[in-house]
Amino acid sequence: MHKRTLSPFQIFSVIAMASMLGVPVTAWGSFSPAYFWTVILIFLLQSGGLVLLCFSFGRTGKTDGSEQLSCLITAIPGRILMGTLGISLTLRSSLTLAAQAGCVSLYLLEDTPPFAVMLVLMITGFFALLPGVRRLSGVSTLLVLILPILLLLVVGVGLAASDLGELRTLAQPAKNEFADALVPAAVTASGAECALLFLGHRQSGRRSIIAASAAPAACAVIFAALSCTAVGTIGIGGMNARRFPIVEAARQINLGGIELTERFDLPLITVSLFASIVQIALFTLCAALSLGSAIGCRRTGVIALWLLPLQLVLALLIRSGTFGGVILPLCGALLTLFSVILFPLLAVISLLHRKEHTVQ
Amino acid sequence: MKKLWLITALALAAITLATGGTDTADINRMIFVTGIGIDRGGEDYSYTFYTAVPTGSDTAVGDNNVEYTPVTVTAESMAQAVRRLEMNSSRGISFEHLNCCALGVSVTDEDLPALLDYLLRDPGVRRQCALLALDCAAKDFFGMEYTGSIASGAASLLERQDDSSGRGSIMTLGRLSSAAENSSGFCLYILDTAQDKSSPSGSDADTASSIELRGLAVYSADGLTGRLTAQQAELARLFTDGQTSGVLVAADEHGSRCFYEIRSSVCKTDFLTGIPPVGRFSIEIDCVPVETENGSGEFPSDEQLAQSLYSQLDELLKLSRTQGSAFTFLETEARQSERLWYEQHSGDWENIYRDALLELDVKCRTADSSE
Repeated sequence: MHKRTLSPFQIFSVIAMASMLGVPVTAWGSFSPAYFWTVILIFLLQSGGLVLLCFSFGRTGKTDGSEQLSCLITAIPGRILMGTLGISLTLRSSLTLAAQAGCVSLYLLEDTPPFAVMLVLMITGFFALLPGVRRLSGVSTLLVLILPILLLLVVGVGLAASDLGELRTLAQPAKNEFADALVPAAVTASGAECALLFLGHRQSGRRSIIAASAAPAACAVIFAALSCTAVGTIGIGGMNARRFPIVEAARQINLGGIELTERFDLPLITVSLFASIVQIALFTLCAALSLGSAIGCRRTGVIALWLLPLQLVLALLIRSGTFGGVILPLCGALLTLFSVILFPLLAVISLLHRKEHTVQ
Repeated sequence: MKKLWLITALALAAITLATGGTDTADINRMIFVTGIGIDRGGEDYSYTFYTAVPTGSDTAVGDNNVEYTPVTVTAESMAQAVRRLEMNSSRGISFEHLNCCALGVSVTDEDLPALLDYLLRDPGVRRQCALLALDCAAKDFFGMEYTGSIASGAASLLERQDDSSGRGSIMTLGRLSSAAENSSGFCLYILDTAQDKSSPSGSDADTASSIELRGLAVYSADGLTGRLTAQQAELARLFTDGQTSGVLVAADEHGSRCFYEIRSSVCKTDFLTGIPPVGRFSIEIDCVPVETENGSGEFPSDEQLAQSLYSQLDELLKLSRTQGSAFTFLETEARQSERLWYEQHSGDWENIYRDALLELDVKCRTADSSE
């Protein structure tokens, strides 16, 4: 199902949705100016990484991530990398599940157990992935069109009502904060690496490259705008003390006398809820494709069906705090492996590879 | 296909069972706490919950449809008090419409973030609930005769005290939480009931005729450091940017008082690190002369007005040195412009502020009221 062609805007939408969820709902309780700049830097690195990935696909003419890896690195390491990507995306999906369920249980459905929210998200995500990546890209496109309107409203009103002087603190990161910020920043900005599975199906090379690289850059802009609004509203200290600082800040935006503006958290959570369903579906689908490639199984739907309960268990473990300290660094490390090391490496190897042309 | 239908049916059942009705809220079965008052009573605290109970009429909308009742519970902590309130009520308790939290005179010098910890932590509590200090017992404040909701009246009165641009100075639960995280100071407006009090300053004749503004309570990260009168509080607003209301009082050369209405004000604050650090306040005010005490209609020149205001604001700055990090204006500037320096020195901020070199520049421009 993944071998259908995506338009540049659909590529942009799916990569943006895959990268986005960490942005509106969570900073993992560790916001600092260093975290802010590290996230932006990682998004920009991802943009560059995706350009290099597009370039390497262009050189080999392959249409599939596993074929690309097998062609450039040889089969066994290629399979190992695909398996690693599958594990990485499964973990990332579990994090999404845990974070979104925590956010919804905290702010929206206080009496509903987080497990029930996770279950609903997981099942809805499964049904969203069934029709395949093309349908998912359609939903992503819709959300990408809705999001800017909402974000403009929240950011516009938020910046008007916040203390812009507070933003100066963002320009003063401490050197020792960068080490602490690296893991949460990598987790927040992760997700775009699943582009390895989409980019081979491009139609027009240059436009696809622009679309792919623009997606993490757009996420960086959204992240910066939302973070600035939140910092202006609750300050760095307030951001650092909360698990969902942007949602918390959205509750505190006040134009004075207009009570409508004090519940901006509700549209934010609602949109992020839809986005998280799409993201869970995307990650599960990509994880199933990756793992399928690694083990040589083409029954993606079956693998996805098995991955969902696994993700639910992982999300419960993350929520209970049992493996949070392991999964977060692991996610960060895997993101670094793909976006920072593998994609540039593929580009370099593909330079040595003779250029091939495919009939489209 | 059969499998798909089976999965669909199971999923629908799971979704329905998982979410069905767990968070429904029938407002006719709820009590909305719109105000909370806290007093100290020996070892325990006395919490007054100002409750709004919908009376169930489905035709009319407004205050006639709601009964406001203060309920006082004595407990060691707010969590315990809320639990007792819940146990003794047949209806659900909601804090989503909390308008204000009033600190009785017996608790204003306590550690406020610790005192209000329950409200700061509970995500169901309205973050924009206004915080205020009282010159009387909170129980008496919420128990007075009043038309409409006292909590709403007090919150409206507070909201009109400040029209600075950006983040205003009115303290809310959300801002208290941020101030606690930043270890920075803050101010609370002090209100009182107007019975047997003669000062009309700050009274709200339309909706809150029996609530009166009495001044400003100033807190550092360590607790209450001092108080300002209502007139000083009005003057202190000039240290924030973008005020568009308020009355200035300046003396002419004969000592008679002249009154001006503020049209707009700009305050630029600079902080320079060093030994001692330097704080610069540059204030520009556009105002309209409205009244003279002697009825002559002659007002001082702009320079004389600026000089008179300079004296008043300088007095206020001197006062702030004896009241710890009063007004917090310079502290905010120091935190924002020199974050790393401030984080190193925030624990000693009061002493730093006391020794700081403060420079003040005031410029006034008066315009004819018809302009």
